[in-house]
Amino acid sequence: MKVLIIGGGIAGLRASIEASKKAEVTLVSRIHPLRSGSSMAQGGINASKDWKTHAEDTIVGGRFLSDQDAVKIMCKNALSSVKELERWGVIFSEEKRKFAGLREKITYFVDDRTGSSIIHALYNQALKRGVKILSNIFILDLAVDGKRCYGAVGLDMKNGEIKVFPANATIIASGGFGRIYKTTTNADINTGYLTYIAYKSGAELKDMEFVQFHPTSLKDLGILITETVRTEGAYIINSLSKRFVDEKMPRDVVSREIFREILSGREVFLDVRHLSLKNFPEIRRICRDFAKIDPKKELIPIEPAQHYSIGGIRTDTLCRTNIEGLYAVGECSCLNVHGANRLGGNSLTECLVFGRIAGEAACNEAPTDIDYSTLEEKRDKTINKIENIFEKNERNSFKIRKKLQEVMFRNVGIIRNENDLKKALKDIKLLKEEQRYSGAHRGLKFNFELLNVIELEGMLNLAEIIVLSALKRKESRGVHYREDFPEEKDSMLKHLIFENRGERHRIKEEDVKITMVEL
Amino acid sequence: MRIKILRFSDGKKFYKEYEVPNLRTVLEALIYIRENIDPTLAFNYSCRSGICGACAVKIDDNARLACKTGLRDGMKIEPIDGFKIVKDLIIDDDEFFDIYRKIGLYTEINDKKSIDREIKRKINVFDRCILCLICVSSCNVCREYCFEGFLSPAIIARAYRLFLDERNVFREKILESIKNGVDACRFYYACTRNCPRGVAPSKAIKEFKSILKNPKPL
Ligand SMILES: Cc1cc2nc3c(=O)[nH]c(=O)nc-3n(C[C@H](O)[C@H](O)[C@H](O)COP(=O)(O)OP(=O)(O)OC[C@H]3O[C@@H](n4cnc5c(N)ncnc54)[C@H](O)[C@@H]3O)c2cc1C
Ligand code: SF4
Ligand code: SF4
Ligand code: FES
Repeated sequence: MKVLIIGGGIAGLRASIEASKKAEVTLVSRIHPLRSGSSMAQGGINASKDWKTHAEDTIVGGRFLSDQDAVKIMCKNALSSVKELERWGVIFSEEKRKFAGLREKITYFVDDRTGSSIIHALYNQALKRGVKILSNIFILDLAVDGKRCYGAVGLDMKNGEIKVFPANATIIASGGFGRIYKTTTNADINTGYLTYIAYKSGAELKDMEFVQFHPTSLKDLGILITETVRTEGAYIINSLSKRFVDEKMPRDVVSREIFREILSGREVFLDVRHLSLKNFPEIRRICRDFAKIDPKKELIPIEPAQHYSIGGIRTDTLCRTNIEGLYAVGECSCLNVHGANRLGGNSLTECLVFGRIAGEAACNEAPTDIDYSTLEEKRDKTINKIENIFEKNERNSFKIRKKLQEVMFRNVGIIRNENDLKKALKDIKLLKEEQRYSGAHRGLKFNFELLNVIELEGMLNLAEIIVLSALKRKESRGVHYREDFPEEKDSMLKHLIFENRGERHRIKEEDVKITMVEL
Repeated sequence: MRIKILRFSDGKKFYKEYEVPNLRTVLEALIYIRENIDPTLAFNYSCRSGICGACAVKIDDNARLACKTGLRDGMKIEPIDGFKIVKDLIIDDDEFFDIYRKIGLYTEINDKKSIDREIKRKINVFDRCILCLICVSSCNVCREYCFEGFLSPAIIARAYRLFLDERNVFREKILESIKNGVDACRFYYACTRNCPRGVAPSKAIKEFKSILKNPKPL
């Protein structure tokens, strides 16, 4: 039994550990696993003995769009995930903190570098269990023959070769697509390429209009200042030194208020001068190194930034996509536990709980013979595609990427309306046209221009889907705010699902699974 | 501003100068060059905020994280020392991580008892290591022995972090697997001086050496 895991963040590593109990596991990652977006998580991870309260908070915070069967699984298993990390050496602080939207302090943390501490522990565990880890592999395509997945095709960037990775079960754990937006807290590698490739290969996408913004990132830098400083008492003030929003509200509300303040020409700051900052050494370091200020003495200039991709590859509670042998887990997937607004600290919980489930489910996949001809066919196609890119003359892919990021931030961001969305759709279509002529210099070894051309195709297509989904949702719910439809509508308590039909998208509606908390 | 970068591809090594605007950091300058002047320039980065450890380069002869080093006119940027160069500023760390894997940095904590405050504080400092490899590239001994015999400050610092936890059932195994790999250190402290995370690998080495000299029952 061969299991292939694409992505070495917290979700991918956790899945690999579980799968290694029964299968031969290869984990590939475009960058060394320790450098994944997960390493940046600051505030912590939610888990509670009182899982019901945690679940209710998640559902209410998510404006009732969460699939409650998935929320139940996550919250019930959260504590055992934390205990397991402790067994693997992570030392959480004795006290707990909380993110906005949680009633109790249920967030376990390691200073404000929780992700880094966890990813190092998981990496060591994966090595201990003999997971074969290959870095610098950029996966370009999935070997899907219409209904089943037999692995993937990837570019070995160090050696400059295109390789096949055969597998009985393939788990995508490739993270979010934050880089579609101009200002984002996400790592630069989080462009969502595999979300697009999964879609192209026949997997469905769900809830793509729900793109979360974080209220407090360092101005002009998109570097995060964790929300937990607010729940510990930080103030948000404007250039008139006035507080204008309840800092303890969930992030969607706070983001919007800050955005409005900035639109009306005022600057916004985070004030932590009165706090001890004992548990926030990274925040002090970040302010010193990147904003050149001392947060104990000075105000921190902030702005909202894209932060989390709630939508993604649709899966069931065993992390299965609608393609046989293909799984998705972590930020690239959509179960959806977070509903219309993710609570801080719930993403790491999701990655760990469902990482384990995905790893186990993949091993229970009925072993079928791997169809090597599909893999080879895909490899040949990929080689042709790259050759095509080398032959194109335009060298404008970085500019197109920038333009796309600006369009998305301006017109598909924190506050949306039909006009802006339609304008964005038009702009994206034009950019797609431009992209068709965009090429790259020759060479397969760490050729970042080539990667950019390839990724751009995915970014443009995901952007289009986000806009179409946002147009279709004529209401405001959680992070999706339409100023032309500012109310939540019960008739829209539905998921929007996208299915690829060649040149067209088919959009389906699906009822939210309500098994616990009624509206 | 003008900066000079050591380029390497297809076996050729050469310096190239670039004119860049007044940007904040070295990383921003590298990105600017790749996106506006020379798309062939290869370098790695991910978080842009000093926590992922992907962007170590040599800046004016000292290994630094590109994302947190301020840009100055006339800077010279090269790949970090001690590793094979794959392309431009990207080095090959596969061998390093292979040794890291082979020595077996395992942890398993079954004990429910809590650890001593002081030890916890110490672990917390060593836990800040992000394996950026800056210490490895700064160490003269590493460069000579190229991991043969000497395990490198980064691996020893990591091993020490796991060893410090008295509840770890693999403590003895960790001590066993590093015992022949710490001797070569000559205490130049370049590792500790250059670490961007305030970890002190030289301290880990010193403590390991003294533990190995006077073995106490664990
Ligand atoms: C600054 C910041 C702070 C955060 N703080 C918190 C917090 O305190 N608590 C919380 O719960 N959540 C937090 N989050 C969210 C959380 O960190 C992420 O949602 C989570 O870590 C995602 O993990 P992942 O494993 O799904 O993906 P990632 O960690 O993003 O990993 C993706 C992996 O996929 C690989 N990959 C991608 N594309 C390819 C490809 N084409 N080929 C090969 N490999 C590929 C990458 O190399 C990488 O290894 C934070 C997020 C950010 C950005
Ligand atoms: S000890 Fe410091 S310099 Fe060495 S790898 Fe760790 S963080 Fe980098
Ligand atoms: S103290 Fe030891 S490990 Fe550190 S740089 Fe000097 S010789 Fe290398
Ligand atoms: S880019 Fe992550 S440490 Fe510099």
